[in-house]
Amino acid sequence: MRTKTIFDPVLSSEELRGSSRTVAEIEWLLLLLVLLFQTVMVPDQETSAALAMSMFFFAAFVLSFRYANFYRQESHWKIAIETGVMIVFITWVLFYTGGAESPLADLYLLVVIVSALTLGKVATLLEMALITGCYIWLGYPQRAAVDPFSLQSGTVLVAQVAPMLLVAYITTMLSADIRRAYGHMKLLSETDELTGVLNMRAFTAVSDRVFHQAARYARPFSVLMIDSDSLKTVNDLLGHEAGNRLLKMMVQSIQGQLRQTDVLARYGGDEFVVLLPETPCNGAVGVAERIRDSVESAPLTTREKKIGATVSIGVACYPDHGADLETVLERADQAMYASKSAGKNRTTAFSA
Amino acid sequence: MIVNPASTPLPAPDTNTVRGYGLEAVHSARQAAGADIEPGQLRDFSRTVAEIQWLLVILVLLHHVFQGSAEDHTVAVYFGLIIFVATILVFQYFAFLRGPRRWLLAVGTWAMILFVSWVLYHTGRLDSPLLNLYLLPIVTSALTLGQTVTLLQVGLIAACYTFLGYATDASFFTVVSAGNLAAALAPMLLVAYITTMLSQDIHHTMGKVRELSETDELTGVYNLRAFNPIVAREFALAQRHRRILSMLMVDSDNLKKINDTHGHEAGDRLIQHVVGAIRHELRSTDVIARYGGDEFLCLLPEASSADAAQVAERIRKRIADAPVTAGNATFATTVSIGVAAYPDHGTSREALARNTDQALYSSKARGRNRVTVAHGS
Repeated sequence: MRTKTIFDPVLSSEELRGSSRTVAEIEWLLLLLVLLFQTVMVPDQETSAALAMSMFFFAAFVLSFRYANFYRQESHWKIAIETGVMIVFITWVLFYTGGAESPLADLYLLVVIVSALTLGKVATLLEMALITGCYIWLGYPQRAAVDPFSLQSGTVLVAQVAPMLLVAYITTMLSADIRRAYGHMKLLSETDELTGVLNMRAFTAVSDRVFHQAARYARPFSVLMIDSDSLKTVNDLLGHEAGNRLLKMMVQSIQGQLRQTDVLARYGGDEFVVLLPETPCNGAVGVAERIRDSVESAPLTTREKKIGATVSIGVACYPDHGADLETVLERADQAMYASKSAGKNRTTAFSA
Repeated sequence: MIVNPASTPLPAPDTNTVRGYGLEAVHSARQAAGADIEPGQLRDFSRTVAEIQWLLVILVLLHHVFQGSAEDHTVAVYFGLIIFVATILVFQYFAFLRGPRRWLLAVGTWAMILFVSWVLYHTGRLDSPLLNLYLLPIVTSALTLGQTVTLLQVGLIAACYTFLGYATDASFFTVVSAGNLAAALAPMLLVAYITTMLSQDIHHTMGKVRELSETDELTGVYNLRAFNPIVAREFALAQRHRRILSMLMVDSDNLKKINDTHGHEAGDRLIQHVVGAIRHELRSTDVIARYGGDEFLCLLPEASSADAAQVAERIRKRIADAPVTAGNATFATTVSIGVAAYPDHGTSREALARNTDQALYSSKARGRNRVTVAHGS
């Protein structure tokens, strides 16, 4: 839970994989730049040794950290730790190359941009605070001579940090725009375009999570399979437009009977699946009956006539009817077919 | 010869060859709208860029108020400010009237670069504390306009640097001054580079999600969300260039029964079989989409209703000739197809779709497993 408050939750681990590779590239780039500085500027021996040591430690960190996490899932923490170490490395290098006045001070921008684009705004704010802290520490020797708390040294600090703040601010803003579009597209990829309920791709992901929670905490859950009895007829008699309307009305009727935590998805052409977490069998049968009733009481009206719409429902529950999700889904499907062959417009709970 | 689909599995959906035209159509439509940014995203960007431009104005004003400068420089800075503010207002107004455009964003960032250069010229050139303001247009363009435009921006900034750092004496043309210039430019390059890189990553994942949102998960063909814009575009093209196009609606005759008797797995197998057959018969320029559970829509640009009926007949035959195998069950399957063409059977998209649907229905009514062309208009 805490992770969500610090990091932007939109990008999942799968989506961070691309960024993670780029972060590695940026780390090597950082190393290269410091190396270049050392070669071109030729600092005195002590500085040279300090820089070499810092580069050695940083390279060792990058290698071992990436090696250790090779097969691990990407997470925000990983990138957060890497950017933190980058800040420490840059601060060390700055300390030996002229403090806050060092020509390498702009390297902080790398960290700022990486965190604004991959970690979200709160994490970026924290990193900015860390960088400001580093600046205060680096500038201390000069300011100690004057007065560390004077207005003048404060102004100098603000002038030094201002570009970082600016870049952090606008990068975060633009990346928020990008993420909003991304979130919207993600939502589209997870919903059925006709009815707006989840598609199977999304249902698989959600139901896996529900199943694992149920299995871990030994809680029940139920599955309803809902199949329209009349879609085929409506499609054939009145055309597909009427059929689509029927589906939408069905979804409305179903949704009216569900709680916030229940999951509704389109399973196929005229079939819907409902997952009821923490609901035992008798509760699920009650819900199914209410859904059946609600669909029946909302007939499809066309210009000429009213057409009654009904559904057949099958119910199966975990752990009573199956030890894994596939079995429960399959049993609910079987129960639904039992409803069909018993004359449609009814609810059947699975019985072995 | 009867092909056993179990021994010769259907080819995996190949996005480049089979749906070649479809993707191309979507891509070119997108390019017209602005590379790979969504309209909603472009609107957000446009608003954020405006905010960044005002931020730039405020920063320059702040600097001016606190630092002060010689009188003629003051006049010059205010002159620059007024021109820049006028530019922002004009472009925002334009974006407001005509909707946000990518080139408006690009021009906005160019204006930012020119304004920053102007202010720098009057506040100490390369030693000016405002030098870092160049980072604003760079980050903006790297995140919103892509790598080529960003490269051009960096080129322009490099030119501005050279201009600002120019000294009339011979010392300008030395290695040292070139080195200093490069060192001053390095942070800009660095920021441009890594911002572009990270934004490429984000765009890449976005492209993947977009593809998911536009394809049917079972068969890999387009869903209606992707199909509708393609149809709209093809229809507009046909109308403008007085071309013909045809539409097929393919519906399985026994999916329901197979689902009921052999289970959903067999039903899925049947749908994949139908898609495979349709794909096999369509040209690379045709577009298929899954319409509902067992219906598929095909759009055949520049095909008359006679051509389309031939294609439909080949699809029908191909499906009827090959039985489907799922698990240990083998069953035959057939499809009914309706065909309608623009402009013969409808001059609007809605009318064409309705007539295709009706033709399909008469195929069903006349005994299924057949092709019917819509009649009249």
